[in-house]
Amino acid sequence: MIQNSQQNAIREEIVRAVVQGKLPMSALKEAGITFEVQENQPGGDRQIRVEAKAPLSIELRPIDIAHGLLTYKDQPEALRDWATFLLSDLEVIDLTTLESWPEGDELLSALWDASFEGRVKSAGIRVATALVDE
Amino acid sequence: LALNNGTISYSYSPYSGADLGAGTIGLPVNEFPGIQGQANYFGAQWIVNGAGPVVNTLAGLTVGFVGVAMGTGTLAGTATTSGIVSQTSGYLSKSAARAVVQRLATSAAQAAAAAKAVSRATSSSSIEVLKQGTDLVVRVFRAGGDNGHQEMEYIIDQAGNKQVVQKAFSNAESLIHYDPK
Repeated sequence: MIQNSQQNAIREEIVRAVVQGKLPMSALKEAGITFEVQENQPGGDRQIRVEAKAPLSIELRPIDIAHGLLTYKDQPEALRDWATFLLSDLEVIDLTTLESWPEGDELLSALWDASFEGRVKSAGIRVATALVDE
Repeated sequence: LALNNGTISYSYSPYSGADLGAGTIGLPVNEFPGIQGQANYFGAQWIVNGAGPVVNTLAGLTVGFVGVAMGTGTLAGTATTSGIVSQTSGYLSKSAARAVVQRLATSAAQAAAAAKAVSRATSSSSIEVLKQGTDLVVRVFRAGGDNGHQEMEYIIDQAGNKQVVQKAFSNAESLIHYDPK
């Protein structure tokens, strides 16, 4: 049990670092998470596969997402993959707490922009910057 | 609730009603009977393959292809249907979507995952929740940057396993995705 608890703590630390942009998306494998995006034709539906080898749920804070947005804001492809992971992973990534934060909706909007368009609007950048600078 | 291929039956108190008649409607694609706290809320929609919008009047409740009918009437009985295409629902707010999720989920794992899917919606998003067999489907929509819209579709089975599909539509309803390459 202790071992599982410790393992989960490590997995959480890895995932949170990925969300914050401090570790690359490839580090998710170290946390036992598989993330794949399949697009059969350009412009078509994108099938997203996310699997966790063991249960884990992490409540993200606005500051976590703010760090990630600022890290990836000038890397469209990386930004898109990162945001798609956050929007797609219903197992590990818990965004419910964002709703109780005033910045939450702006950050969610930024995730959608990032995931679908590979960019973040200036409002999202402003919110993220303000959070990180606090 | 029973939502079967070609047949629909409802048994929600205080709703009751008559046979809808054979062949008059397409597959009933969604229903929101008695959302908790909103006892008079009822919505149902039908699609007939290739036939476009279909409107049916059921026990005094007019139900159209788009939108959620509101009423205190009853919808009950069975209907032989045709032209099965897909299942959809009216567009819901986050709070309403959560209520529907709790109502339609058949397991705790399914409900938890669906609630997390709803949490991905922004304040300007609209949400569909529907049941396809034993799967629960949550679709979150948001206006896109080119006057089209963006969609995240989460299909969740009873065990809580998920399939996620991301779709972006232009104003002309064609699929588009930004390609950063």
